[in-house]
Amino acid sequence: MNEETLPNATIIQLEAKEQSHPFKFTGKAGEYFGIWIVNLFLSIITLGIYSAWAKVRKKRYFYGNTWVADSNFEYHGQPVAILKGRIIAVCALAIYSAAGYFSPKLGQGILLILGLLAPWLIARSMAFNAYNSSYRQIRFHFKSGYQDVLLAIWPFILIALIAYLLPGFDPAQVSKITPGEIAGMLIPAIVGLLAFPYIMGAIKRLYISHSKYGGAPCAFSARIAQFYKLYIIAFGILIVGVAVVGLAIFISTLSPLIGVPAIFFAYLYFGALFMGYINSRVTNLTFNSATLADQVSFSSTLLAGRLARIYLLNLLAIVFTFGLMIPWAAIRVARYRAECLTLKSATDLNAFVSKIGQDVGATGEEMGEFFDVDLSL
Amino acid sequence: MISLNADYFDGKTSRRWPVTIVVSDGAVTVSGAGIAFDTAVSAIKFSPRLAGMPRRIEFADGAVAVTQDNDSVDRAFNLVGRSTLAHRLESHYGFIVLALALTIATCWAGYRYGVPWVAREVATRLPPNIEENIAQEGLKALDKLVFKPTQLSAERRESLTQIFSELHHATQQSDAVRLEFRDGGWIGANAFALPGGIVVMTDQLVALMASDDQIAAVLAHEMGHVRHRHSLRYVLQDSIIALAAMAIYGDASAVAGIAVTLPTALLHAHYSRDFEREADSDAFELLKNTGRSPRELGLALAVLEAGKNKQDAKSSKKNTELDSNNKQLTQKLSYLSSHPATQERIEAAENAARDINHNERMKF
Repeated sequence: MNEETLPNATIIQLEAKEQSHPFKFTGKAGEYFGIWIVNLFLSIITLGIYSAWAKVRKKRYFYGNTWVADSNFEYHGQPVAILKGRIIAVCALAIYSAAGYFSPKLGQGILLILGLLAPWLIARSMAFNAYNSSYRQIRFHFKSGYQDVLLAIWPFILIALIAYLLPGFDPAQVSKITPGEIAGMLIPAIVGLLAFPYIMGAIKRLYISHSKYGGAPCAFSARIAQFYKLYIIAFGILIVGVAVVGLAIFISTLSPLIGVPAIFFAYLYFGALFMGYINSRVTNLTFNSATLADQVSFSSTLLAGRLARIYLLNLLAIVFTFGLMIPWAAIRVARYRAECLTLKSATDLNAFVSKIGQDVGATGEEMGEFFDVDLSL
Repeated sequence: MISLNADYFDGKTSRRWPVTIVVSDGAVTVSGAGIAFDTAVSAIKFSPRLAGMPRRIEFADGAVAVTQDNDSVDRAFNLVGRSTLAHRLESHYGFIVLALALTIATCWAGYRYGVPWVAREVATRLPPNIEENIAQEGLKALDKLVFKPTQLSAERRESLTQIFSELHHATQQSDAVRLEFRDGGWIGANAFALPGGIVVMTDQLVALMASDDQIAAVLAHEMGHVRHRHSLRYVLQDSIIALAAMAIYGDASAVAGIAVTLPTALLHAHYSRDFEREADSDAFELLKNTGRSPRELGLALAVLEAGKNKQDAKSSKKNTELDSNNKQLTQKLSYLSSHPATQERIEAAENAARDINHNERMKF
């Protein structure tokens, strides 16, 4: 509806009722450094077993230091549940790698099986994550069926299927590369590239539209086309970046003194710009399209350039301190993200009601994390 | 009696109730606008302390009181000195410094000794047929993508294979080895040791070497790689380092991808230098045992280096408009970047040769 058709009085009344609550992140780099280094040290000397406890402490620190409307979030995940999930994930990875050594086809077959299990794993992982997050002692919930997740990630499974069915690169066949083999390598890559924005948008839509805060349902209004627009621009940045790095490489053959530092800086600059652009825009779009029970909406105003500068400085700090500035870097990003986020509520935040939930195992989440499927907002 | 301020949440609605909690003699009184109840200390649980974060006082009915006043909670409920081990370690400066020192030491020792040890143990225990399989697939892939069939005459190949067998015999190793000839394509003059004892030598290398003794030196070097299973260990070390880097840098998620590439590339270069040195020292031994001088390997390396520089010069000749100043700088820099390692290896060969002369003189 057009705003001008509404009587002025209605707008004023709505504005008067609406409350704005800015998010705030209160984590400190010095404090988090202690947690991080102890986590790292204990994880190393226990050969990774402590990493489940480390993850819980890290998440509790970041959730607990995120505030909105005078209350903070809380993470409830149990380390043993996470450890069990990690053990299963490591076994699955070992089976996949071993199979790949014996025969590439067998490896692809196992990948296909994992692909078919993926919707279930993702649903479990999202449910675990939501159920173990709370705000004001009311937990979040996520519930979706196999087919809902399948609808969001089907291109991944299609790619695994294409890779399995197409001839693939087989060194034993003929002595030259055949067109079939080129197709076998190119088609999955092209399908992956074309489907990537869809998958990213659809996963966000899935997560938010199937989530509840207590008994209150969340909704997501962004269209997949909006994600395509962002990823096309990001792809453009990437192309320009590759061209500039290429130019720097060419210059380095003429004059290494100018060229070699130019390669280095072009690589870092465009890497940070690309990440800054896509992460800021996707986060903004996601939050700005999410609502809770038609009462609560969000406003995220991350700037691509500002985030890129934060990434660039983080990157240099991490590289030059051999990783010791990682806690500082993580805190800076969390602080900026919270700074740019505001919760808008049509009513006060006291009226949300909880819902009795059941325990959800960690296996899905841990397997998802190990195979590097990033599902976070 | 200790009292503290907290936010009370009943676990049923999202309403925040500011309350005052009074603790005395095992009894807890919670009171505020609309809230008033008593409970026993024994019916309460506490979230473990984590840095300076608000403490959660959890009641039996699922309600919770959250307070920033961590120290009062510790005093009121007698929790002083009873915090979890993790919290005590995380908030103790001495332990943080110790953990930092031990982490750095462990990472260094793991990188220097741990990863190479694991890779060596795994490589020597891997069933030979798996290694053979990897090598066959690898060679076929190279044939398809890079190599062309060799142009060397059958007699030439026969005589070089003869040298190869002679060297292998001198190593007194029982593992099967095989020499393959290929036209190197764009790779040019080079020799490789694949897993499973396959050594590949390019026609360009054969053409570049000044004598059969130099070729023998290169083959002896590759046989060192074969004997120590370097190519397999290289792949294994690479995978372990990549996994470890992912685990450690994972915390910085967004920048991790860019940040990981640089350090791992540096670690990589270090391992490969170690392998070259190991193969070289094997080759010196083998050359001595077959009546050749270790100097031959130094000469072969010098010839290869010169060949590489000649190629570089050829490709930069195209840029005729380039001013000579710049060209000199280019050559100087490429000399600096690639030369020290090779120079060191050539010197090592000279030293190995000198040792023999010295020992022989001692005999007289």
